[in-house]
Order: sequence, then C-alpha cells, then structure tokens
Amino acid sequence: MEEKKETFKSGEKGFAVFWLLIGAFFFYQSWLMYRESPSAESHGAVPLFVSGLIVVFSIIILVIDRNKVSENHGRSVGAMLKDTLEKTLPKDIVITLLMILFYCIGLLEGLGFYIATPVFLWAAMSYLMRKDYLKNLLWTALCVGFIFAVFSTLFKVVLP
Amino acid sequence: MENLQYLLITFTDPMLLLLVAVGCFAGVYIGAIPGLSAVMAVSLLVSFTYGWETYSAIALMIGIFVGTVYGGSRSAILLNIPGAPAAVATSLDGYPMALKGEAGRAMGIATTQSVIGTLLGIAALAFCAPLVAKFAMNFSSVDYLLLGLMGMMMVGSLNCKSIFRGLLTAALGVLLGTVGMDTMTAVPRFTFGISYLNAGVDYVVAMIGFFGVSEALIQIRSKDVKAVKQKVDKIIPSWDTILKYVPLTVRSSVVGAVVGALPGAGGDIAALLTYDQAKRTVKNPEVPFGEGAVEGIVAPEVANNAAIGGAFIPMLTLGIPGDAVTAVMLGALTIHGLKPGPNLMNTTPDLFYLIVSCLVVASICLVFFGLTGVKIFTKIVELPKGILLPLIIILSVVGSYAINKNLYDIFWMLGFGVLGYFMKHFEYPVAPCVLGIILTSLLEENYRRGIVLKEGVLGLAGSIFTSPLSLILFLLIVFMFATQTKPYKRWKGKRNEAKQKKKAGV
Repeated sequence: MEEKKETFKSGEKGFAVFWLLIGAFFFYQSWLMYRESPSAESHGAVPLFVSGLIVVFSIIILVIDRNKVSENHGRSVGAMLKDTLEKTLPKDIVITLLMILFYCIGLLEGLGFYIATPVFLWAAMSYLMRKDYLKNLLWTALCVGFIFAVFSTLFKVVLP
Repeated sequence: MENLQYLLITFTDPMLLLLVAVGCFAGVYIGAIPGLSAVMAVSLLVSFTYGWETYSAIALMIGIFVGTVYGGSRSAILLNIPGAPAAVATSLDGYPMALKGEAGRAMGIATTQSVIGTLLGIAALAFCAPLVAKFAMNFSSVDYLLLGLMGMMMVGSLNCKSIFRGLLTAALGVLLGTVGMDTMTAVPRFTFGISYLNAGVDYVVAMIGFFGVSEALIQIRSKDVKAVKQKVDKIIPSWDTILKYVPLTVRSSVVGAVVGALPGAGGDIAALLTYDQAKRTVKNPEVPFGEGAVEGIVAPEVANNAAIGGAFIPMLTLGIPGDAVTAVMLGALTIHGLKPGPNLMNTTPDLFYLIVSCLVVASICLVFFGLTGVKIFTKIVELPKGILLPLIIILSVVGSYAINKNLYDIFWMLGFGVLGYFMKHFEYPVAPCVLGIILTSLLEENYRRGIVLKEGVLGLAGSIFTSPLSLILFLLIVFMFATQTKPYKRWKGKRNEAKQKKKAGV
C-alpha cells in the first residue's frame, strides 16, 4: 500500500528550528542553574531535563520531516519567506492582533474597561464583518450589557 | 438508619434543594464560558459564602462544581474551546460532530453520560470511599511520578501528526511550569529579574490563551465560512443509544472515579485516559475517532463527571484534595470549622452524607438544565464569526484578569494565545502544553521526593522494578509510546490489510 504523501505548510519545517532554538536557550539557562547546585534533586535538574527533551524532540522532528515536501518547495529563499509570512500571518490576523494589543494597552494605561471594551468590540466587529456598522453598535451594546450583568453584577468579578 | 436520615437532609430542606439547583444552573453556563472554570467559580463562592451556614455553603458549591464540569463540554462541542480542562477530550469528537450539524445530538449524549457518570461517581464515593482511599495511600512518590508521565504521554499522543510533536509541547508545558520561585528551595527560576514571574505561570492564564485567544485567531482565517446549521430537534438520546454504550460507560466511570480519587489527578486526566482507552478498545466506531465518534464523547464525559465523586474520597477521608476544586472546598470546610480527614466520618457523618445527597440532587438538576438550554446555546454557533470572535477575546481578557486581578496576566494570556495560534497553524497540539503546566508540581515534587527517598536517580529507576504497581504503570507508559510510533502503526496497517485480504479471499 502506498503511503499518502504529506504536504507541509509554508514555514512548518522552520517551526521545528524555532523549537530547537527555544530548547537550546533554556537548556543553557538551566545548565547555569544546575551548576549552582549540581545534584539530581536540585532546582535546576528538572528544567535541565525537560529543556534537553525539547532539544532532542525538535531534532527528531527535523530529521523525520527533512524529506517532506513543503507548499513553497523549490522557490528562492526570499520568495519562501514572503510566502510563509503571508500564509502564516494574513492581514486579518495582524490587524486583529494589533487591535487586541491596543485594547490591552488602553486597559493598562487606565482607559477603563467600559470605554476600551465597546470601542474594541465595535471596531473588531466592523472590521471582521466589513458591513452592518450600525447593527454592530447594537451587538456591542448587547455584549457589554451581558458582561456587566453576568460579571459585574451577578458574580461580582473585578473587571480590568 | 442514621446514615439514611443524614442522606435525606438535602431532600427535605427546600432551601438546600434550591441552592443546589441554582448552583447547578449557574455552573452549566459558567462552565460553558471559556475562561471561567470550576476552580474560579468555587473560589469566588468561598468568599461570598464565608458567613453562611455550612450546609448552605456546601450545597451551593457542589451545585456549581457539578454544573461547571458538565458545562465545559458545551463550548468544547460548539466552539472547540473547552470551557474547562476536563472537557479537552470532549472537543476532539464533539466539535467534529457540531461541524456536521449534529451539535444537539452531541450535547444530548454529553448530558446523559455526564449524569450517569456523576451518579456512578457518587456510588463510588458512598460505597468505596474507604477502600479507594486506602489504595491511593499505597501510592509512592515514584507511582505519582509515573502517573503524571502517563497523563502527559496520553495527551501528547492524541490527534497530532507525530507523537514527538505532542511530547515536545508537553515538555514545553513542564518547562513553563518550572518558571517562578522553586517551592522547595525558594530559588527563582527563569525569572530574569522580573518580579512578576516569581509567582510562576498561572495555568488558567495559559489555558485561556492557548484555548481561547488562539482559537479565535485561528477561526479568523475562516471567518467567511457560513456556520453550519445545528440539528437540535432531537437532543434527548434514545434508550437504545444509551444502552449501546453501557459497557464503555461503566468502564469509563470506574476509571474516572479511581483517577479522581488520586490526589492531583482530576477530571482532566480521567477524561483523557478514558478517551485514549476508548480509542484503543472500541473496535468499529460509527465514524473514526477525531471525526465525530460518539464513543469519543461518551468516555470523557462519563469519566470527568465520575471523577467528581472520586475527588471527594481522599479529600473527605484523608484531608488530601483530589483536584483543584476539592482543594478550594477543603479550604472552605476549614473556614467553616471542619477538619476533613480520617476522623471526619466519625465526628461529622452528617457532612459526608450531605455531600453525597447534594451530588445526587445536582445530577438530577443536570438532566433538566443540561437538556433544556441546548437550543438557545446552540444559536451561538450560528452567530457570524465577526460578532462571536471579538466577544471570545473579551471573555478571555476578563477571565485572565479575574484570577489574580493583575493586568500583566492579560498580556501573558495574549502571548500564550499568539504562541498557541502558531502551534495550531503548524499542527502542534496545545493541550499537552497546558497539561504539562498543570502537572509540573506533581511531577517535580514526586521526582525530587523519590530521589531523596531512593538515594539517587539509579535508586529511583530501580524502585520501579521492585514495586508491582510502579512496574505496571511503567509498562503502560512503554506500551503507550510504542503503539504511537510510526513503525508500530505501519506494522498494524499491514496486519489489518493482510486480514482484510484473507477475509476477501475466503
């Protein structure tokens, strides 16, 4: 029986390299900790072991996946990077992430939950729907009302 | 006779009945909201019910506990966002069923199986409490270490391209779990001078990020796809359907109650363990596991609810909580002047039977609330994603802030959300990572205790082969790993092919 050929997403193989780098960084940091008290029951032993595992597993993944064909196979490095970036982080994701980030910064800067939240909700809904701007106002009011009723009033949850 | 009187306390007091019902109703919806967990709800209740009479406080908390454990399955089925860790396994087949328009059927099965699971867990609590607690007492630190590793192995091998991807993210979870002040030596680890990190990574924050925000981001990629109209006309499953799965139900409830009774191992591990067990033992599911198999909902839903009864066993008889929620309840009982432990059943037997009867009432309420609110709740998935996704993000923000009331938690949650987005996009499972964070303390404490007791790594490894229980757990881990490797799968594929050819030849 012929095995089904797996096609990898653009950047999927590179993600294993990311894990390898993360694992290597934490392995080094764990080694520094372990050196302070070099014994099997020290505070650095478990981090050293698990970061070592991350390194080992990422190498295994890289070896297993080395012959797999990627979506952007055969292209130049520049074209591959561009393709990976476009497919991994499409415009909608980037803009939504930026909106979330601005919303969180607004909360951190003391803008207030009941000001920042309706603005974020309406902006995000309007961007993602790209229509019904007035209807989205109603949805925003409903969502804020729900949060107020359930979290603030019923469960007395402290809002950011 | 005296015990029967204690059992009837809840049934004869309308106020207690009302409190359990209100708790259960609220719990179903709290559990369904991503980011709101049973731990958080019960923790909040502890502060509200501080001045209440003990019976009333316990009745409300038990109602909420049972409701939230079940409620987690709703968002797992409808949104692929488990409302609680115990519902992670439910989403693996529940969500594919919802994608086919069978959300109503999935939730009906989840409800009935949750009720059966809760009742069987209560039976375990009422009749087997002393025995199971005695068995759990025999577990050594090596056994707990192996149990934790087994949990990681199971969740790491679920639904991913390769077992190594699952194991890698599980290892990452444990690494994240070690961030902060070491509980044994008070030495800071991976804090890089940032005082915020001294407290470590909050697993609820990570869970909200990995399951809430990352899912919202992933769904933005398909925001223009029309939502599948869900079939909710026949929610209540037929007797035939329930009877068909009785063997699996019984098996899963036994595992759920036993795992729930083991300290540190709650409904989440029980659900994943039974899901894995069902995947291995059910020969011909109607559809394959991971694509909407009913068995994939039955096993975890029975187990996570059976674990509720199980979790109370060590808490009430030994004073050791079975999971995070019972840990909070342990605190609540102490606040009310009670001392859970071996003497609790002698000094305050009424309390033990009150808990048992409150659990029975809660499961009866679950039938009603679980099967009635489905149609309204199902409408949520029919909402345009452009409306739903920003709301999920806001709920995630509120949920992550509510735990410690720290604005920086929101940024961490967001960071985990972005990492989870990349992981999901590149097909690395996020569940093992969250489980890794949760299990780190169990793994590390038992590993270090084992090292001290067995005088070194060699002594610890050697002790596995001197204890039958440790050896069984170890062999199970080896078996689980071996059956998830490509050579084994290839061999199994060839064997099945040969069998089919033989059949066709005959």
